[in-house]
Amino acid sequence: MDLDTLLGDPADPDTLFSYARCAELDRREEFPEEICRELDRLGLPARYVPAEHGGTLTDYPELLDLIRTIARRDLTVAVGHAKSYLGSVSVWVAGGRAQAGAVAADVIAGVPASWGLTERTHGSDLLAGEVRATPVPGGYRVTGEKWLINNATRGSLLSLLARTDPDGGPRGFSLLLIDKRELDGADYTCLPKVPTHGIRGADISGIAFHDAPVPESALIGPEGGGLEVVLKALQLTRTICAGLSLGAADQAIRQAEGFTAERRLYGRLLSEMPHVRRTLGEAHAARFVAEAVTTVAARGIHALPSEMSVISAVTKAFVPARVDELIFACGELLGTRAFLTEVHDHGVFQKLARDHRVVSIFDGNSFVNENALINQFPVLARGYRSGPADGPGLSRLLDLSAAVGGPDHSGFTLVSRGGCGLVQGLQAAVDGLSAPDAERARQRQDLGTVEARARELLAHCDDLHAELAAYAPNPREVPPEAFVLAQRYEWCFAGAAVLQLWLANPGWKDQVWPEAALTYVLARLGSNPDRAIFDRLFDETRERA
Amino acid sequence: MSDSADDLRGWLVQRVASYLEKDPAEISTSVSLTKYGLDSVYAFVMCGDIEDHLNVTLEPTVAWDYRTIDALAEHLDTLGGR
Repeated sequence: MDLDTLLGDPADPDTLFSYARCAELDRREEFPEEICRELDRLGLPARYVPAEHGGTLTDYPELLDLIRTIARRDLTVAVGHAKSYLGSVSVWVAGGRAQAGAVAADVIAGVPASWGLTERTHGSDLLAGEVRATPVPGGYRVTGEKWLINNATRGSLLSLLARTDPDGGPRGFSLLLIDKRELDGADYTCLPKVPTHGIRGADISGIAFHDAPVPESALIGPEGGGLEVVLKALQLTRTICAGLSLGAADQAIRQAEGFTAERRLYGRLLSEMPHVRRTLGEAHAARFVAEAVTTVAARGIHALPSEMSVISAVTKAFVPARVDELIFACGELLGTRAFLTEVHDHGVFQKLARDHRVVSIFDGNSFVNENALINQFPVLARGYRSGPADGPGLSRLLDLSAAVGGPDHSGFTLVSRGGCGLVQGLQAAVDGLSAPDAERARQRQDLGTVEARARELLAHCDDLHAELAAYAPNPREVPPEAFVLAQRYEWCFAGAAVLQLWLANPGWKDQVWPEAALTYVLARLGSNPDRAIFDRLFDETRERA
Repeated sequence: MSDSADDLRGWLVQRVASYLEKDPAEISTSVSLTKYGLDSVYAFVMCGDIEDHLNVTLEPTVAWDYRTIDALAEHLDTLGGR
């Protein structure tokens, strides 16, 4: 039985994980303790633990689906519960077998874990971190404060980034697995919960250590390896964030569709008004594009781990931003309904709109992720000239009927030497559209405007890469123009994802989907495609409903 | 240090000077590159340039582990028994 069914009808106030209860907890700024215990009971924590360490995580697309299912009901619950994955992922990436086994047992048993990276005055600037772990015989002494940490108070386990070399630098930090249960009460202080605009019930707090003793065995990876492990682990968590966004998008569209299909104004249903149909059609196109990017990222963890430094940065910069726009557009259709807190599924829309704002902020905001892309412009420009570095890997990624194989958590790297196979495969994909062989000819029957749109996308992509090739990285500061290039890259990536997933999976979606999705992408790349395709997409979704 | 390490050192001085838009004479081979303002991420750009120049494959973090031009040149010289 699927998770959503197991969790019961969210509209029924008697269901444990209901809109009503989540709204009430939000009003009281209370952590959804009981709901998280229910998720524990249903075995969700084991899904965060790789099978090799005793859990049931074998397939990231599946994990993304679970996160999305929970986020659709309530983002606060999803953020609060999935934090145990973020708190333990560094161990899956770099920990030893014994360490991973012990952490796995705790996580599976429902022990909350958290990830201590940021500090009060340093935010994303991890190398400025001041929490010190001073080497002493047999281990470390930890002093200093981490702040705005999800689950800092509830979590028994904490993956902590601390300065092990007073001089700092990229090899001056290490990750330590802190087990609060092994510390004395005087060793640490949990800081008060911080009031927030959204995810009001989440445990967003902090923790201060006071010369706390930590054994050498707490090291995750080598001493000095902290930043590297964090940057690799973020490639996974940034992908997971897309699941949160998709869940929010599902609920936003559901609310807007439900309302416009029932509300009668000026003598007709809202959903009969051209502007409403177009807006909803575009929202569907936006979600489809976000799904395509997320699918590439989740399958990429398995099929192209060495390219995840690019793929995860695109995904985290792109998907939450598009879903924020989608929520805004749906909110306009809902009018005042988007603003009321107690009606329409207990104000679920205004709550998700507030809750979702945090997704584009945490785990690296858009600037951080676009900066990561900018730093890889040289390999992206070079790779574009030579095509996909790992053609078989790309094919496996794109073929949704192909098994991806278990994830290799040691396969990540800080720079994708081969660039980005997906974008580098666009030329061949477009060439394939006009290939003379029989199968292609048959496919062409159903191409509609896809071919023209695909050629337009390729032209944008060619222009962009000429600019990327001419970009000389500046060692001291990143010019604002580079961020515009990074954003154009994200759109090209998204278009390439839609086109190639559709081509690789005949029968997956009617051609109106890629037509509308490419229209959505091209409009943002500066073309002026005919947006009437969004109306057709709206009709298509109505027929399916 | 071998001749090729000396060559490499000279080449690295040129590269670093060009990143920083400085005169190569201002670059010391024994000073940590981060002291010149080349940040942790810029090390990746330099790594790519070294890979292209020597036609080798390196860990992107090579300049995190070998922080001066001297240390880098010596390390690169020991690779592959060149």
